[in-house]
Amino acid sequence: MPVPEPTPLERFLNGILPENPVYRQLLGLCPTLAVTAAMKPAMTMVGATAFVLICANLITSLIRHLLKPHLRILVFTLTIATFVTIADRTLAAFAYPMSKLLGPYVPLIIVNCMIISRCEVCSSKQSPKTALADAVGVSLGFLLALASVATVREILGNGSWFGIQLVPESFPTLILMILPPGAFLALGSLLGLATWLGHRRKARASEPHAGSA
Amino acid sequence: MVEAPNKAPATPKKEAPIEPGLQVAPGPHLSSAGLTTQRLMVDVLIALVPVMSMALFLFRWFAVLQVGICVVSCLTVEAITSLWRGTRPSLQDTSAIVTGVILGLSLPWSAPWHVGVVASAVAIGFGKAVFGGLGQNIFNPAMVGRGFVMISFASSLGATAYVRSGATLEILTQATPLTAAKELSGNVPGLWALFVGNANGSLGETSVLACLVGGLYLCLRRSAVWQTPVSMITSAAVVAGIANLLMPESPLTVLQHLTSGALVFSAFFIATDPVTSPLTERGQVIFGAGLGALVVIIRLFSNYPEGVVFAVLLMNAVVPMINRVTIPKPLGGLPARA
Amino acid sequence: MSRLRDSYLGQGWLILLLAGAFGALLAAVHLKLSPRIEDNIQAEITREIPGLLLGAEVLEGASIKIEGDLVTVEPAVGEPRVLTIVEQPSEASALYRVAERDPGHLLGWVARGQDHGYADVIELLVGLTADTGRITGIYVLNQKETPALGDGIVRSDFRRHFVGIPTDRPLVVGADAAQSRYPIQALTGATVSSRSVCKIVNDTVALVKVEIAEEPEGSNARP
Repeated sequence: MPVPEPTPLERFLNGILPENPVYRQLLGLCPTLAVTAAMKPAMTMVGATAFVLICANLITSLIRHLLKPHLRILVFTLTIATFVTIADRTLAAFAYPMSKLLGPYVPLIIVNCMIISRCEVCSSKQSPKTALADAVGVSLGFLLALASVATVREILGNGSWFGIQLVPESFPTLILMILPPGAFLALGSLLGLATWLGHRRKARASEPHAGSA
Repeated sequence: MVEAPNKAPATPKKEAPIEPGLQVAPGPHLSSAGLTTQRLMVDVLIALVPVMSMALFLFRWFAVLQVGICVVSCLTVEAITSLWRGTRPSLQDTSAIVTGVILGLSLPWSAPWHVGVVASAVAIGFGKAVFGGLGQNIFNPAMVGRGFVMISFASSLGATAYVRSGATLEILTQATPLTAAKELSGNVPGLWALFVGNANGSLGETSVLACLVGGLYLCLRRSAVWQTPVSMITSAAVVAGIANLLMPESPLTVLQHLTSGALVFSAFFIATDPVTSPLTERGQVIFGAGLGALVVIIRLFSNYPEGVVFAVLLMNAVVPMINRVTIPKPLGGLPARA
Repeated sequence: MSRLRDSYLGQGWLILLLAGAFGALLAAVHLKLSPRIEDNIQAEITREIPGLLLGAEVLEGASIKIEGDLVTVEPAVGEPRVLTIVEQPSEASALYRVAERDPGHLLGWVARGQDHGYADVIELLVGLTADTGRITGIYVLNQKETPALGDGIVRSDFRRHFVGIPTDRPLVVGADAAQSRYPIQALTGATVSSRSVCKIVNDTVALVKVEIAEEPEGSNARP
């Protein structure tokens, strides 16, 4: 039985919440933990990752009929590495302090499984339109994830958001939250919260049709 | 051996039909029906009475305030998390009170109120509830909370927080013994002052005498095992002795190492926590030895004057491994060979 | 036909084609952006030079103004100091001669050096006194060492080890340093990174010393 083609809208919406790369698939955890001490680096990282993801998805989708199964990973990696290098150089040229702050994490986008999994699962099988919608949706999902973790960490740990001081300087902040252990605590709690909300929604949705299932 | 008469696992809501066969339940594992979690916790509270009296005598209302804040916060957070998880509030086993008291006693007298509240929330929330409640937690809840605030509010819990020049209480004007030793400013109080507790420090840690009285009560009542404290103190003494031989200019003698800081307090009241310590006697000895060695090593080689919090958390992490290597041989059983 | 399809070329033509296209794309990006990146790095070097020669304490709370080759340092307390920075021809990636403008005396030298670290190339700035006898400080321009281990080389508590060390003999790290009078404490878990930094400092210092000794100016500046 042929599986029906997913529509671009479906792919777009799926990437944001139902298949959120961080909260649902647990992919891309390295940047989620490493650059979320504040909003600014986190959002720069999201921008760079989204650029790479969209470009890689489009290219692999355009050449999907030429791909040979045993060489496809090579093509994916080649494509991703190219766009990561472009993103890295662009940051170094136009946002030099941010590029130094992110350090090795921009080149490390190459090994972000979220991107290669989209190439493998979606864009190497779907039309460019669907692949683009998928990449944008997943990027938004990634944005949502990094923004949530970075918001929690920056507000609790530094009393600021996007560098804007929210509480008086004298207010005690939880410095641990902007240190590496804080990343794990924040991600773990948010992951738990997301799963809990998901379960609750599912339970609510299934209640009226309890008999039919 | 593996039975928990007092407490069924809290997670399943529906009563499962009791099936014949081996029942496996989370700790604390108690071997007699009269021994309930509640009795054990009340025993710990009774044993803490000398320590609390000493804290009250030394730090006056600072002690009452600090311990009170921690106990109230711990109970509140315990109630909230139990309700959220959909289980009966497990307040009646008094374990949250014990966590609160130990946490309060481990804080400096000067810590502002938010320190106690945050520490309690982290202790019960992240130290216990996220693992599934009492019996499921890997790390000692009080130490999780203490570690969190120690790093987060470095200025409220650092060495300077203990000292206030011009305070009406005389001991508050001195540096804590371990800070004095760390900064090589000399002036470590004499052995007798350290033993009785006439020294500055966290609320509960100053008096070795009070800790020993409470600890002996716990051990005699069999509410705590004696192996862990004995091996912890012995190993701390051995490591401190070796360190003193290698570095003769060390500011602390072996006995001063043992009587200053939270070593004895943690040996009796923190290391003996039945949930986060090993199950077998051999395991408890290993656990205590590791703790004592780590405490002294952290005191000597790290930037922190005291190492109890990190030592307890580190050793808690290896308890499952200790349990695995110390599985007792069943009577008449074959030696375990691969 | 099937022979062609089974040949390496038949299998790999897409990858070769993509590699060519992407290579061209990267070359274009590099040509377009590298001058800008180089400007950014140059600006950073100019900003860091006063700190390397005058000491980090002087820069605390100070404001730095850069106009061409002139750098004005206005400390929180005391007189502003104007430094002239002149790039010298050198075998090192770059060598800067730094002098105070007003009395006109030579303050010291800053050289840029690089070598392989644990992950990628490490680039350093090394500050030397006017007579090249002592190191005045180091600064890490570029590194991609392991986060949380090797990237500790950028922290000031690691870089501080290098301040004031005589250059008459090479620096040694960690275990090799037992006999040395000036051992550099290796970073925990990052011996390779620490060793690389020392090697770069040694190589750069050796190169600069030879070059400056050849120039008459270097010997004149001896106080």
